[in-house]
Amino acid sequence: MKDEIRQLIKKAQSGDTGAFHKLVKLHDERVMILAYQLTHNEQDAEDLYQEVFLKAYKNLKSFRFESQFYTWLYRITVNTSYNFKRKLARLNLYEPNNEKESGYLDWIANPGDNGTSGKEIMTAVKSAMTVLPQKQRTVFILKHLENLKIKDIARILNISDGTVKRYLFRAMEKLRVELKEYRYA
Amino acid sequence: MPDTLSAKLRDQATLYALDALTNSELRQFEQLLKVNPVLQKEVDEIVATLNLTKLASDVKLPEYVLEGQRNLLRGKIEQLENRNRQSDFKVSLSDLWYNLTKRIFIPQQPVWAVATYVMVAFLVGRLVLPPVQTVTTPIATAPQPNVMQLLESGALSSSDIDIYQNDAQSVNFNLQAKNDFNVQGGLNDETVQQILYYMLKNDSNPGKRLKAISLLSEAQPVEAGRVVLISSLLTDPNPGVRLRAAKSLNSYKSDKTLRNACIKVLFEDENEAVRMAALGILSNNPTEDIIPALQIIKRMDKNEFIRDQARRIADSFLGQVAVERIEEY
Repeated sequence: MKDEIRQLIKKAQSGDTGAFHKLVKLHDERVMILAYQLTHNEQDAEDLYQEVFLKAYKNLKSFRFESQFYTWLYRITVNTSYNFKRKLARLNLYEPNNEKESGYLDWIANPGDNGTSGKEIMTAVKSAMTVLPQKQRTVFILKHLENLKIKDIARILNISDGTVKRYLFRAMEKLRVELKEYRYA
Repeated sequence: MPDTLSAKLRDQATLYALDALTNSELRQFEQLLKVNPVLQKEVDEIVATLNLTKLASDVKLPEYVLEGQRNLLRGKIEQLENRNRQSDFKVSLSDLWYNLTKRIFIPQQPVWAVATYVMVAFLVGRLVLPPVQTVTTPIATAPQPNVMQLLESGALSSSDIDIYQNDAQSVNFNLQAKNDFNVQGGLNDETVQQILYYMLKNDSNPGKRLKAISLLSEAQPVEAGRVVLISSLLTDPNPGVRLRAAKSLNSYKSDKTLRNACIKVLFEDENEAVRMAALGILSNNPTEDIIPALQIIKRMDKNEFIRDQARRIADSFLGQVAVERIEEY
């Protein structure tokens, strides 16, 4: 698989758009899920998806095989999402603690399958996540929901391993407080 | 055994639960865990919190969403490549011009050779290059080609139109007819909306239909577009387009046609997200005529969430009717 991806990247770097689209197909689900987890909104996630892959296409020649291709894509996704939020904030469209509700449940695997309490838990988790500062939240998503290693997260966010861990501790402390009453629901 | 934990142990508990300890740290930590019930309780609490967040964030992406996005991306990359090709061509033309003038003004060759260059340049310009006529026509300020007339007469087809740029305020269309021309306008311009509705209804490319409906959802809803949206909700083969159509229809006032369309979707659409969106429209303004359909949906729909929602809407409506009747007495 790694060799296949390497070959595809090389072909795409030399101008083969078909190879690039194969790369997209191999990685886009993970990118879209990360985009969704970072934005909590399906339309924003779709916009982010387009922006990430266009950036990847335009900058593919700068990829030097020093990291895994997906971590490179994740880095673009995270940075683009930060820019995206800054842009929305400038236009007064983004409120960090009150992200748009529309579509939040559309892609969730089992929206409220456990009845009203299930939905309540999901809303609680969502609002607990939005309480976290941006970097703590990103680190938490990359570690816990995307199962990345600490050193990969550090590379993606361009911070030290120790800082990644510190963000994780703080995020965890806040989530425990926020979700105390739902923990054993 | 102390009943409180040091900060270091608490941090390690977090890393342990997140599977982020090194092998040696893990061995040490597990030894401690066996003998320290307070630490065990700490780990249990962290794990329970993590499970909760994982459960609520478990995303299941419908395949059509990715397909639609891939098509859209393909279109964007194609446009990018076309633009690059055009600018490469411009660059090579300017190189040619530079070389020619250099040769003319710094002649190192006989006069007949210079004259030949000039003739070649003239011939290339006159015969080989196609006439370039790119006109950007802002709808609001300049006379524009009647795009809708061209579309309706068949002189232009939806596949000749590319939406290549938009921001919160405006949309640009590139129309590839005999002569390339661009049309630009605000999302609320009538012509822009007509073109977008036309593309939504007629374009065979689902990516373009998705783009058209996404832009339309940002524009002010117009009554004339309602029929197209209902038609897309009922007939578009792409579930992403149907879903967007349902969401856009949420901005319209509910009437019998819309309610009937939503009921048809609830009974017939294979896609759960589309059915949920249709149910959302019905729940905005429930009327008595939808109750029989809801009674069936609350028992028959394959999706438990839809069944619950249908039950909730029907019950709340029937409860409201009962209260009104009691008040009548």
